[in-house]
Amino acid sequence: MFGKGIAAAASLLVLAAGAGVWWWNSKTAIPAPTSVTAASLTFGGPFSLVDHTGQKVTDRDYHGSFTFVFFGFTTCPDVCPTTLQNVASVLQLLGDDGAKVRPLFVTVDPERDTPATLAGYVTLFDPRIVGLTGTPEQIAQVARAYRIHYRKASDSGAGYLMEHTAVLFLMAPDGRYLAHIPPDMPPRRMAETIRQHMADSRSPSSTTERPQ
Amino acid sequence: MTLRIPAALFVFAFAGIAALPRAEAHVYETGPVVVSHPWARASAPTARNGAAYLRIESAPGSKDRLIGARSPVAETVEVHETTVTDGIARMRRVPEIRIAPGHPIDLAPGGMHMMLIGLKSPLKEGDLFPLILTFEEAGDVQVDVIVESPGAMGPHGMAGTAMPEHQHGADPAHKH
Repeated sequence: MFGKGIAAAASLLVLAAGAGVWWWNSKTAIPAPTSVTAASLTFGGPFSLVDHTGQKVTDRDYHGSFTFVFFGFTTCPDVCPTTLQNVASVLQLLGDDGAKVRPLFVTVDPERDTPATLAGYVTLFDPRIVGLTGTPEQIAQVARAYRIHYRKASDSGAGYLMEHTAVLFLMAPDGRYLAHIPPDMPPRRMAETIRQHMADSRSPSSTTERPQ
Repeated sequence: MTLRIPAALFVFAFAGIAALPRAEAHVYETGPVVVSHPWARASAPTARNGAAYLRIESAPGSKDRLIGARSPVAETVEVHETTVTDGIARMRRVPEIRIAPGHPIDLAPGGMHMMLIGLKSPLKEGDLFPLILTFEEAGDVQVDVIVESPGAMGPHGMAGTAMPEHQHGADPAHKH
């Protein structure tokens, strides 16, 4: 009699633990390795934002090019300039192929990062980098689509600083997720990774599954 | 009445300046504390914050603590440390840095930096600005910070900028 109770309680505990782990994973939004199939864990999707020239844009405006999507904020003086510089280096390394890649820098701080603020920032590194902002709701939507964690943190005289997922996403010309790239990958390797995906997409024998 | 300055004086002065080793020109020593190669990244026209980087070491037999910093170019200066854990980038304020002999502290991109909070005007590449570091023992040490490019990874001629083939770190010729 007792045994049945304990077994029931144990299964309930395991179930609860599993649910907790699933919930925690969905909150921390760690990008999955590329071996996970697109059907089970997707990144990217439709978005509606404003670019650094003040123009309203959607994800469809960038279809036709590979996009390199990454998140940051302009009051970040350390990681974001490094990432932007790496992206600029990647574009240079890609040479003519650089024209096929649109780097999209999405702010996680829409309250302070206006189009003008973004313009001054991204154009410091390369005129091809696009800065994107929007309403807090629009930013929340694109962050959800890319499973980006972002949060205000405040422990200094700097007002608030943003903690945020620092990974870069390579997306195909049709908007499909291709790969995620860690921010500390050397630009040369980033460029090689992009070239490889470009070659794969051109290959007639490519077996990449296309979503229906 | 004209003042005739002997030509010899000019020669001596010039020789004296020329004799200074070039690397020493950007090293600051105040007793037991040595601060080398302070540099910063150029900031965007609308940027609120900037970052400066440098190396601090203490002379043999002495130790100290960096307890504060200030600069006329910003409202406040704080040391912050960047961490990227599980793909999430964070910055955390570091209230003080202990300096011990034989353990130089490098403030460099991706690690610790002096965050210049509330820039009064943009930092332009090529500019020079004063930064005052306050040490518990050594007191105030003023250094001149050189502004490099917006994405520079090190002071000019050392760790290199965006050169894709040279991402590995400091130029061996300048190791010290």
